[in-house]
Amino acid sequence: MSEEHHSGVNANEDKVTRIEHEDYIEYREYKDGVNGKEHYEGRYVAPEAVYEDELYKEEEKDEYRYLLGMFDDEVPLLHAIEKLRASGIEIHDALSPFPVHGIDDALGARETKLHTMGFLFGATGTAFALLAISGISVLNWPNNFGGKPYFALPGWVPIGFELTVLFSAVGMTIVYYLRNGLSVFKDIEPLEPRTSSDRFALVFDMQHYNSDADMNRITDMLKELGCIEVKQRTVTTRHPSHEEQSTAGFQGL
Amino acid sequence: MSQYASPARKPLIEGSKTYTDITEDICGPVEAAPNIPFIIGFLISASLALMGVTLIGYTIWKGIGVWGENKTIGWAWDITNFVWWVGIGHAGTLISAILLLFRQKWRTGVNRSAEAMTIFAVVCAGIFPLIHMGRIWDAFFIFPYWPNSRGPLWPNFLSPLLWDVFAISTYFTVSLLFWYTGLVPDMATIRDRASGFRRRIYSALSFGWRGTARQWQRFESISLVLAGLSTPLVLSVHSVVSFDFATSVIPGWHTTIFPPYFVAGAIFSGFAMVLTLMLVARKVMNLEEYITINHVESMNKVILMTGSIVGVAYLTELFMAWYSGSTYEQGAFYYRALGPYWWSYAAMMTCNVISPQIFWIKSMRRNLWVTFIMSIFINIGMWFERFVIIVTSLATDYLPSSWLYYQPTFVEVGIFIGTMGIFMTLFLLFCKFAPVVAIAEVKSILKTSGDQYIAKQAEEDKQEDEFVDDLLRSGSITVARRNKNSD
Repeated sequence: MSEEHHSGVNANEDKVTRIEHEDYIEYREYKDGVNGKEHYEGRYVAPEAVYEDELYKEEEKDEYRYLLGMFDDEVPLLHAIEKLRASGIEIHDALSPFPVHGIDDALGARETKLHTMGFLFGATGTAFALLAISGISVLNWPNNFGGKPYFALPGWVPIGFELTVLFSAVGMTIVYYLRNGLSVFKDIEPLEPRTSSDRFALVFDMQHYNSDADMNRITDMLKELGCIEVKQRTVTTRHPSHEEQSTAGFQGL
Repeated sequence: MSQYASPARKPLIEGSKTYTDITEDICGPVEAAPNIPFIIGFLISASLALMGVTLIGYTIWKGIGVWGENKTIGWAWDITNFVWWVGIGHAGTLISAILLLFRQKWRTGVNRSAEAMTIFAVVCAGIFPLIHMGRIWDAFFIFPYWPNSRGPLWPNFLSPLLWDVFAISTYFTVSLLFWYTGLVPDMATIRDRASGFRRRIYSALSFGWRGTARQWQRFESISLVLAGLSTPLVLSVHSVVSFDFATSVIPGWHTTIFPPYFVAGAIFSGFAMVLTLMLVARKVMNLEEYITINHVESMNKVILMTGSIVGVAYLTELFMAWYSGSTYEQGAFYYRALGPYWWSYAAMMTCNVISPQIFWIKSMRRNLWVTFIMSIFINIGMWFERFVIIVTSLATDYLPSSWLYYQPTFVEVGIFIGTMGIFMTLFLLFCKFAPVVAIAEVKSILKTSGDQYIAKQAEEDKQEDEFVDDLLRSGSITVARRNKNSD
């Protein structure tokens, strides 16, 4: 338990500090096979304190707070992203109801490599088709169809083409869904439901900007830049930043 | 940063819509309880579908002897229906893929429903080759699989029929992926407006979409690549279907004009079907401001062009039959036009070539009733085109003693009507549970194609012109020569 870990929630701060400073004890219990007691090593806390502390930890783990700057148009949104980044404010993410052109550049996001994946899958499809058909028609069971050669490459073009397209499309779609963290079982908690309808939102992580001074500064800047509403939102699942979304592995969002 | 709404273009979104309005208007019909017309339509379609499924079961149970095909005419309504349905499935991908690459903004109003029609039409098409096999339980033989349980016997990779298997299954898969990937963000829009059980359903359908910048970036990337892949795919599919005929040695089938002619015909019939259904849907679902007369006119232009290509192909076929000097080829076309099936040839020519010429007139292209009636005509004409190609070529083949006449039985007619029922059932379910117009895509063209933005830009351009005129008149600025119409 570190100080920094608690900093997000102010209401229980006094109590936590007390727990940390007074109720934590160096606790050591040995288990030997004979008497069947639990075996713990290292720092531990007294039973009463464990109860309170665990309860508190649980609460804190599932709570992520974000500041949302809401816009009703994409033009001020793009402008705001540029201004905010120029003044050194880190934008956690941007949400929009449709693809806004230029938002990647404004956020400084790198280009997606998805299309390269599409090419690689397509090349795999071509290779697979030609290898499989030639293996079957030349090696496994050569058949004479109207005197045509066994290795009848021109006649394999249609299937080769179809499999190229099939592999490329299917492979790319799978990668797309994985990288975007999309799954039929995924039930998300939207930061702002209206961002899928008529609102654009800039998201700021309140773990970084937790002081009143920071908040006021961002809020003032947002208001100045055409933001129509600034609000805070607490959710139980973490919303990864746009950098994390582009660099994280296949766990995606 | 703001986009230029060119006053030279006609608005594609009318009624001064805002982003809020677009969401409300398109989600509204999905969120409302089904109304009486919907229920009646659904019951009729579902009954027809049930009839079709029953008759398909009857065919499988009794064998394809219950159809009217005979020794001479082995392909008839089954393959006609197959090619007709595959053709109808071409408009969706043309609109969503080719028009995306060409940056045609009007596609956004109709692409979602046209793509849905593609998928449902391919479902209907796929039924026919399977049931036409007779022994449907052996249908898996068409797929090469490993380990091969047929001993060393593999499908013939040089057969256009096998190419067709690959083409149609790839087309179906890619269209489905393209369609649903585009649907995910719009499902999220409905999810975020819903609550309770409904929210849970749409939460599963929307795959946990958040609409982050990164997600949209990948969305744009996959849309573009899938469009790039689908563009040659859509052209290849009907080319491969035409190979089923073109690579044979039957007079009337064995021609190199088939691939482009079939592709043009497919787009022609596909657009006709899109118009038939969307003219009704836009009225019933109050989407007139999203699927405007300008959309209808654009589609009618495509119909006029593809219809004319088809017309040229018909005439080229006749010319080539004469010019080839081949007696069999000449005979095939003589009997096609004037033989026992002359009436189907006449129906084809009237519906596909003569009547669409009305669309050279602008007021006709913009007339909804004319468009609706023409779209029905084209659906009929394109069905007859396939019937003419398939049945008349077989009916009068090389050996006059085996010439026969073909008539369908009630089973074939029933199965065909049944597939229309299946198609309509699926389409009505789609209209009820999914946004019929691509919400996100329409929003992304609002600033360039919304009527209020175009009007505003026109006003600004006018003021600018007047300002420059004033300066010129007052002599504040001078130019050597100013041509007002230069741009």
